Amino acid sequence: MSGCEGGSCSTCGTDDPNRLPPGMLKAYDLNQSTADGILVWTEVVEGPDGPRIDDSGAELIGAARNLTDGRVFAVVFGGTELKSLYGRLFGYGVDTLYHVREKSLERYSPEAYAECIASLMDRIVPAAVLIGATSRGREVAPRIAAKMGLGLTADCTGLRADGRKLIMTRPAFGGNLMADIECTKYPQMATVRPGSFPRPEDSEGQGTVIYWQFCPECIKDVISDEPMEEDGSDIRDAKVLISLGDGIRDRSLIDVAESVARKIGAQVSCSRALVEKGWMPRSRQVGMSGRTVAPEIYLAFGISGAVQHRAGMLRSGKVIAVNNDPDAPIHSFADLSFIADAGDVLRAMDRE
Amino acid sequence: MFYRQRIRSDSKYLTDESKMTGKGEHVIIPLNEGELREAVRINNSKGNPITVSAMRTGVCGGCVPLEGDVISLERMSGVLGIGRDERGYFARVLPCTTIEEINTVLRGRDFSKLADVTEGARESLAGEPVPYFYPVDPTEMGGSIGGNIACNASGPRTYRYGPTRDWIRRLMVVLPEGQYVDFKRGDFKAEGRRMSFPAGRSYYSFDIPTYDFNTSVKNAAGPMFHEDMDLIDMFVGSEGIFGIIAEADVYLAPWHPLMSNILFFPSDSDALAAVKEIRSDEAIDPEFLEYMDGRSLELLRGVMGSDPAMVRVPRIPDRAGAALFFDMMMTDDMVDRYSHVAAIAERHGSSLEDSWCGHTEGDRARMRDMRHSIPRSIFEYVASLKQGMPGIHKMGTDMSVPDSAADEMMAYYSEQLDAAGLEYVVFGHIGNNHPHVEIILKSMDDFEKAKEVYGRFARKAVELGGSPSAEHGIGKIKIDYMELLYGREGVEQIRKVKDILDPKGILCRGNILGAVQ
Amino acid sequence: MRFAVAVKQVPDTMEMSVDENGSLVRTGVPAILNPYDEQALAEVLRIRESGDEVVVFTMGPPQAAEALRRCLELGADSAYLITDRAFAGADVYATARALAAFITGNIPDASLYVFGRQAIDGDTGQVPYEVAALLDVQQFAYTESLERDGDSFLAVQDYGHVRRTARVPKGSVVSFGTVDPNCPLPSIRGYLESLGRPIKEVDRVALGLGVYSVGLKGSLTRIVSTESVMSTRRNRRVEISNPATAADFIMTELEGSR
Repeated sequence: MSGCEGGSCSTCGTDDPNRLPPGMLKAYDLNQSTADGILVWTEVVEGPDGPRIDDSGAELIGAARNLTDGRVFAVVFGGTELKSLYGRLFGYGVDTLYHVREKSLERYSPEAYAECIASLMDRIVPAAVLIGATSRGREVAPRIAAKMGLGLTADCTGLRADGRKLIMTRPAFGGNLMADIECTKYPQMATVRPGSFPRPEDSEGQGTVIYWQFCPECIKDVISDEPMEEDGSDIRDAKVLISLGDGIRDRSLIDVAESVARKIGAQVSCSRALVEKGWMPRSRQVGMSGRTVAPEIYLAFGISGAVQHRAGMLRSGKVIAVNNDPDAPIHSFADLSFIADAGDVLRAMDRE
Repeated sequence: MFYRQRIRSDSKYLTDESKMTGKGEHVIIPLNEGELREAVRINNSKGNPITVSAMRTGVCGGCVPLEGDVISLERMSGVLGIGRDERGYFARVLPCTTIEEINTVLRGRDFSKLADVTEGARESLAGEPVPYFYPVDPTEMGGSIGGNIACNASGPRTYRYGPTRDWIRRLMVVLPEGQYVDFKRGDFKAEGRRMSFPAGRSYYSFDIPTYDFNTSVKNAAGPMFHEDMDLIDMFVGSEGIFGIIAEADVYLAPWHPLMSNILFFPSDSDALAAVKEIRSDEAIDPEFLEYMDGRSLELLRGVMGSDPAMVRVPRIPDRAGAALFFDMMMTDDMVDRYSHVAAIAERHGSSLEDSWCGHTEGDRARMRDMRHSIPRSIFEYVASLKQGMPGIHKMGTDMSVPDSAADEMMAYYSEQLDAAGLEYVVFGHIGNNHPHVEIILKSMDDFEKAKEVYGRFARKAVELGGSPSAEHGIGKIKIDYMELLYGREGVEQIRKVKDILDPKGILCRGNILGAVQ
Repeated sequence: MRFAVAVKQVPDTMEMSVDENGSLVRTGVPAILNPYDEQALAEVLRIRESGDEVVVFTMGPPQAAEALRRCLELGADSAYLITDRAFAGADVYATARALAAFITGNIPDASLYVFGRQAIDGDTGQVPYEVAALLDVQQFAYTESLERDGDSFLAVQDYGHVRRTARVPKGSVVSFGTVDPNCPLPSIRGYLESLGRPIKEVDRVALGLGVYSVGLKGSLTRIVSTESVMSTRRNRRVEISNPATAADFIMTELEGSR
């Protein structure tokens, strides 16, 4: 016997005839996926001056660039008008851009988008796929994950890399717990809450563009797509929300709030009371019967803070409440609360 | 030493849910019974009036001071212990403990921080198969137990459980001269109409009034007196004019799972006809029976969208023209008992489809929210009128009559109000023939008319053998009813008792007896 | 037509309180039917016609039967409880896989598979779309309203910046995005009828899934560590008479967080 342990040399016999020579598995890592690089689905939104890269997409490219030593891939859906965005995308850090120019995919369809991105993943075999946790991203990502039998961490607020392994952080149990999660298979998938990473500086860059041919099997029978807001904004994407409630007794205060919002780069949302009054559209409503928002700063003006409302804004970063009712429940879950008239404070902010 | 602070003119200590505003100089906040007695003694020696106040949820101005100081018991709060006697379990509580707090402690079933008033009572209560609760539900669960005792509060569940009075085991009362009497039901009883009891170094003995308090209907009009009465009953419902409740033992009842139901009817008359049948049907055996007339439902439909407190109230079906709300204990024979409900419903234009029911706490709360939204909506409506008409206040009846006179009283309400051209809603404790009639005031003119009609209602209720103040008490707002009920002589007799216990007349001036001339 | 509605039992987060450390207190909090699922069921019951059948199902511990009871009281015709100790610890994929296996085995012919957008106890609302993918059917997210249109349905979906109206073919997954807080309560008739309806139990073996396909073992994500975040809500309260002071303060806070 050569004194080695457990048959680590060829002179020792093993019971298993199929067993590889010891150490070889580790040296060649034959059991390991070859996945590498990060793929980002970059949503493109129609702006007044043509197509624009959605903030969440830009942020994710920036994040991917810092997370991998490998390539950063991006996929965009749309027609030739997207050519104007190439330079910008490369500037953010994309190495290879897949442009899906299929006519039937110019209109969003979750099934076909998922199928198409899955086909790209088969081709690229990325180590990770990042998708913005937007209303579209939240439905496309799980469809891809299930189709390909992959793990998916939804609504992450942080990502770390350990080699090509991603550690994904997301709040759990109403935000009282932060959980670090990993996927057990490659490609790893995550949807990332908009605003979790800084938007990279705009610059023009160079890279490879591949027109990806994909013919979807299933196209949705869409009857109409009506734009809901003139500016295409969605309160779910806002970083700062000025939210108005029942304590706003004067309709003109909504204009004041809009003016303050423009000044500080916020959007205006509301509680159910104002939607019922017909003062605000339902698309601006925060709460269980409206939308769930998670801005960095939530300014609650005249909102009493009924539990249903609270459910819609529980994940906000900082909550500042202004309400002249000292017993209003909103005060008990705000970081800072002012017992003052919401209208007066809004007007004062507008004057500043 | 005790906390004593000047009262600002906008202080919360000067008002209650009646929105009546008073005047006062200082607020005294004793931390315990010792400080309370010291405060009473000092004020008594100076002849300085004191008004007792706790959660200020009364609707008749009972805790609103007219002069002198306010003693707020707000710091004397909490459940102290659990005991058990031949009647059953009881909780020992401080006066400013709210009904909600008592029930929360009991629901939690962790009594380790409480005292054993009788040996082993805590452990034995914790080991009971069902939780216990304090069963008198005065609707306002945020009111203090002391306040509830002082006005003998009742509510929907009085239908089954009776008023507060029936649940009081023991009281510790601080008397106006600074002594205290700590006694159980049965310790001191009047001999005929002569009441005698010792308190500290004093011994009181006096004749009680000659009237008999009406207990055949729900009644909160003035203090109770009758032959051979128990001293407990003299303090319960006396609205603080004889003494201050510093501690109490209240009996508890086993809690059973309940099913809440709301049955909708096409019209008011259908619902009222069904009331009688439900009440006389032994199988249904409701815990309480509450009525909401068509106008109440209309009112709720109107505020549904804008009132944040209505946020989880279920949408009222369009066809509903009136509703009955009742709880039933959950038993194994629900199917059978509901078949009785179905038969009654169908006889009066309704059916089991036109109903809601729920046995989870969340569902039951949604139904309670609906019922409670009616008075609150009216309250807010009246508050909104106050800007233009400062003198206006809410006009709601609180009158109960015996079963035999229920129809006559209901007819009288609508006849008089319609004749006066007033808008109104009717809702409330129909099981005890005690609905609330609330007038939707539009102008000061309406207000004057309403006051006049109310006087007639009160006289009619008394004439029919009922009470003009079934649950809200007399306070400072309804003192006119005292003479109506007991005559000038009866009121004078009460005043004589008061003079013996409170020779300087410092305690809760203005309540029941009115301001001293 | 047959409608299959997936529901979940959740702790009533509205009843949850926060302790002095800022953690949610879950003990003693009643369990309820997830409000989004209740709304989804209400929408289905609204469009149901005579002869239609509404089946509800849930995956959870035995006590989740309470949530199914509630669905039966509201008018669902039958209920399945998918329960097995091996299901514990399932991530989205393992959950979707079990649900899809259940659907394929028990109600493969439903006209629609209906979900609530998400559970209020902190889940992320991915399950409906994973199930749709595994069943290989179309998915309709954020649905606001659904109408019958012959053999198929028309859905109005709220995508935030656009409101989409689309045709929903038979067999699709629809998830409802809103909650109606004023939703109706069960009627006494509904309650009485529900008493006679059984809840069928289905376990792992009945689904034909191996132990490595379900629960923690069948999950494709793994929690590496958790860290409790102390209440970030500082809850500072200021009574202010001059609105300009409050305005100044808020503006400064906004600047500070840029």
